Amino acid sequence: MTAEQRFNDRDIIERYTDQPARLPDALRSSIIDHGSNPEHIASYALADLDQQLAFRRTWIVLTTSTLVLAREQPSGGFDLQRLPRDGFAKVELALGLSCHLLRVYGKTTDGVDNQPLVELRFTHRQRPSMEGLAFLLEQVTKGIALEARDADVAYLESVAQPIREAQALVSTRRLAVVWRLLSYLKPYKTRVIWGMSAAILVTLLALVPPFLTGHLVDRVIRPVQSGELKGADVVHVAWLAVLGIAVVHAVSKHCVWLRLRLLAVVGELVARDLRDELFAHLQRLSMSFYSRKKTGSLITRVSSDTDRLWEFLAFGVVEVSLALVSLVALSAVLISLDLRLGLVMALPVPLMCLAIHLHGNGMQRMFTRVWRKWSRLTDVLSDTIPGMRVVKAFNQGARERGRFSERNADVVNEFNRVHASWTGFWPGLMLALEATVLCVWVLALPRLLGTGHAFGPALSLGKFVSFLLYTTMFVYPVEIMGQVARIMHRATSSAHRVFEVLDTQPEVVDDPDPVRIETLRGQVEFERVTFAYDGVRQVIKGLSFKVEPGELIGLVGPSGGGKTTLINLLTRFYDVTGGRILVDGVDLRKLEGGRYREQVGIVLQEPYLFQGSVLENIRYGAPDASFDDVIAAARVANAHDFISRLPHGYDTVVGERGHTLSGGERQRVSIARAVLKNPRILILDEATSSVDTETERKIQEAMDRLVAGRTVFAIAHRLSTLRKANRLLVIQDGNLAELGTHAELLANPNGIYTKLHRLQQDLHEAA
Amino acid sequence: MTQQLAGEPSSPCSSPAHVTPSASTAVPVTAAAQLVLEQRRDGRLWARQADQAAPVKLRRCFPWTFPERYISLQTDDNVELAFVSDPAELDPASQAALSRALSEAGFVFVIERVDSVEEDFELRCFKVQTPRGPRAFQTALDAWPRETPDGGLLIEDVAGDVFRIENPESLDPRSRELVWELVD
Repeated sequence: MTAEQRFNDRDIIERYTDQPARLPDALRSSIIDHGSNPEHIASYALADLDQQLAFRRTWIVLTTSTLVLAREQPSGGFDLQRLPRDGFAKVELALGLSCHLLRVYGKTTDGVDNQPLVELRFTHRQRPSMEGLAFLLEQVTKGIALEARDADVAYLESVAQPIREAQALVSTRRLAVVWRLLSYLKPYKTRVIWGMSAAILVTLLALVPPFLTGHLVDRVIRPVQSGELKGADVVHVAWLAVLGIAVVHAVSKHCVWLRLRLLAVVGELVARDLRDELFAHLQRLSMSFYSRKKTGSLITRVSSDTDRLWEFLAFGVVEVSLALVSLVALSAVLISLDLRLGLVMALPVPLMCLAIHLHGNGMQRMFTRVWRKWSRLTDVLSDTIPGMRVVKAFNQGARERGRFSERNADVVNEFNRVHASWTGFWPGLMLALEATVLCVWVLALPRLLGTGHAFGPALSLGKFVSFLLYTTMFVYPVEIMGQVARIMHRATSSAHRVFEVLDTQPEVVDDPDPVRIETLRGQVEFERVTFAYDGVRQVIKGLSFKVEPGELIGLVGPSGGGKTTLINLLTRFYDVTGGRILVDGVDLRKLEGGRYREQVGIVLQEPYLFQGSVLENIRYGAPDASFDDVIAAARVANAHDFISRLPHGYDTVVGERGHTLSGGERQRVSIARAVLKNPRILILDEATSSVDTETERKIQEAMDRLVAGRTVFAIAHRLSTLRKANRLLVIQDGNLAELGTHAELLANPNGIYTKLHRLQQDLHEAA
Repeated sequence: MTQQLAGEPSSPCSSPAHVTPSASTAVPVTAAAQLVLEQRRDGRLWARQADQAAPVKLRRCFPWTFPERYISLQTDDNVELAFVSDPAELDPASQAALSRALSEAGFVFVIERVDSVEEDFELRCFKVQTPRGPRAFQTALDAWPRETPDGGLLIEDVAGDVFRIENPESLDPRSRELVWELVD
């Protein structure tokens, strides 16, 4: 966990929960400084319910020698109860709907005292940290030494994690996110400056035609009509003004083109940069990240979120900036034209923006209702379309139609509510704007007609015409300003999701000074390896064994025993939490990751083929392999025959995840891929478990050829496939339970392997 | 008849009396009085039948559609040890023990008042008042409240805690306004 993540978790707890982000300092001091030796805090958790299920805090703290219960008193202090750590016999967790129980039982001379020493109630929010503490307490009861871990970090992570994962990011302020987003414009600053300048020019140029119009009325049309001037004398001035308006429009439209083109391209370039950076970063992230995040959510971040950011950068930023410039400029021009009328027009504008903003908030709530109803409608679709056979078989079509119609009507009702709102609001707003214009008329008419000087000095017709033209320009920027919050919200939410991925640090990283082994021999040694996915509950518990180069090792044992975790550690998808793995005598964490993985091959139970041709899939690990090598690999994998029978041969395009091939065919392509890579260490993870007998025979033949001359770790459900293994490791409950050859293990009549073998034989015979 | 004992207890315990039938020899109990429920000093609910007893945990089969009845009594390994379809058929002491245990096992927070509902990044943040005290919790934006057959609403927060609005209509106007978009 990085310092930044730790800070974020603390921020999350403080911002979203009503509990402390760490053990209170005063309590910590009184626990640590108790007795002659300072205590080390191994773990702590918070029980947030009392016996009556009311919210009341009790801290439970496991230290070097004691278990401390600290009940928060209404006065603010703590009532401490210390229990010696070696006095516990049993730990129990009882889970309810929203109230869980931790019970710790003491020892008696003949076993377990049946009255609990500790009985604490707590909510789901505390469950992960309480489970972590319960696990450690169990270790204590078994006399197992606890691994050192930062108790504060464990507590922070466990309480903050559900919020962090739901939220997808921490609580950085919106403005900071916008600034960070805008920093991506830096490489394109020339284009941005030109684009923004063009946009500002468009806005300012829009102010010119009304001014020229007013000028034309006052200086040309009116004097000519009243006989003060002769038309022939000023016709050139009139045409000049018209020409001026035409030039302004031409320049303005050119600037619009320039702005749209430059900023749309800049938006695309930034979105491209973000997508590249995001995808590159995704490649660096550890497998633990992928186990936490949903695939759909990650795809959305790379695709639609970056697309939404393009929209914001290309248009949102400009529109908002220009709306602001427009409103300020229009207000300034109107006030400079005529102070009184200008104020009448400008002063209601902030109120209108506020009204639009409030209306937007109301609409947002209505859309939330629409969204909820829409989800209910799509639930029917996602239920019935994939399950159409069941619907038909149970003759429930009419019922499903009824369910759909009812929800469909609900959606329409909600949309009607939305339409009723906006169709009422916008005419109302326009009415308010027109009322303002009407006020301008009311105040201007007496001055235009010379009947009411109390309203101000006389007003020329041209100035008034200019004024009216300017008032029509208020509508669009007012509308945009009312939507600023929504525009910002959409953009910052997307930016958040993108930046969350970019800010995640890979947990498995190369050593700064890595050891590069050009060609591995394939010796593998596990030395007291421990591992816990959550950092607390060990799934591998002190595993030690050594494998010589070229050995075929079978991994067997009950499901959930730790076989796949062992493989995950060997491939360095995760780093060990204790002990070490040596490959050719070098700690795996010291090896250069890229070169190491180039020499490790893996064939999975569910072979994964990429969208592309069979040739591309076989060449995935060795893109430069020759056609001869590809065919040779396919022959080894028993794949050549079926591939050459395909109409497009090796150029056959296999669909997403290779679904145009059968399971056995996909598996043989994946074996060919592993063969071509020529790995020094090969991992076969249940490679034949989901295929029929004939296909299994072909795959088995292929694998027999594949394993020759390599160190192989094979997990197999069917024990018969591991008869050729040099040794078998029986993994159970994270431990190495048995080790030996097939015959050696069968020699132990009560052994785990013997039982598994007998069970499979019975099933086989029964079949 | 409504109760039966079946399954195996999860582990031996210090009590001299244990229920030890196996799943394959499940025998329907023929009289309600044969099943006795009691809370023992270990803090747990015990199911006793004749001279056999075991600690049990409770699972309501229909926690929202029929919470008062159909209760499964299970071992720590989730093996059903007994089944109570109607607690009224138990003796009064057993009924009381069952009721106490159910109030804890089926405990969820009841929302009496909503103080605020705000949207944050991908979260909907609630501040509410419950009979147990005030609570702040969060749900995902698309985690909609679930309607229960009795017209109540269940809201599950990101951590998994369940909050119940027993009758949205009976909330005060301000609370109703705050949850308007989430309630029909």
